[in-house]
Amino acid sequence: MKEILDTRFFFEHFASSEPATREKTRNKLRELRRNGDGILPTVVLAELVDHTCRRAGRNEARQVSESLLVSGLLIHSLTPAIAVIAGGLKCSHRDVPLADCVIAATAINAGGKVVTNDPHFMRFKQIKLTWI
Amino acid sequence: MTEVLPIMTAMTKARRHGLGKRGATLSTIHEIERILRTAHGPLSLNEIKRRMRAKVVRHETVRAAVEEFMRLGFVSWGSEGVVWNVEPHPQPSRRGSNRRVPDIEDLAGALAEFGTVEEWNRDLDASRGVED
Repeated sequence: MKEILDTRFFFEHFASSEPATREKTRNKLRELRRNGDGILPTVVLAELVDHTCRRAGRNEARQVSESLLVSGLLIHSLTPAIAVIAGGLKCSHRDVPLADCVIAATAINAGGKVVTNDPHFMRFKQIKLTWI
Repeated sequence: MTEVLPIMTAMTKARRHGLGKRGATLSTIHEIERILRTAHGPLSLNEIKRRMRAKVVRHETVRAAVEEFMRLGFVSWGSEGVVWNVEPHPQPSRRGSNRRVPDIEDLAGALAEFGTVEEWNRDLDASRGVED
């Protein structure tokens, strides 16, 4: 089953100081890349570049984005079909950020589950969640 | 002639049963892709045919190519015509192309010095418009 990686997963991977957590995220990425099941929505890529640039600088942001682009994770753009699903989710859950709706819609469109610990995603009854 | 006739009969029968039916060539598919990518709006199949280099193109050939693009999620086909959805993924910058792009798994913990995971998540929530 495809797994859609949320921004929080990458924060855990890049910014965790816990060796055990890093090992878990590394294993998760390895498994997803080996099976071709990892999906990176473009909105997550944008958030990662934005936040890495803000906190660590442009060079680090470029390094992160380049690593992701060649990582073998499937990069899913915001297609019209995903946009329509995301809009419907946002309409039903008005206090959930639009970025979360886009990530959830990507999961619905791909028939996959979201890798996140963000409690917002629990609001979507039709979305399966998983964590590291 | 007597030796050729059975072969021709077999070919005719095969064609009638859909065997040996040939689809669009790769160069035709690439040409249709280029036409759709550079179009400023939806195009009908007839308009795609009109823009192709060849003077005569079978309608079924263009339809088959567009249906294949649709199956792959590259195009949307509405009442106005066909429109290209997907933009090419950005490639890592060529500047310093001899520089090795680090593997995503090797970057575990690379940004730990710029804040804890909780701080990164707090920034993310703030940028997504989530209130505490």
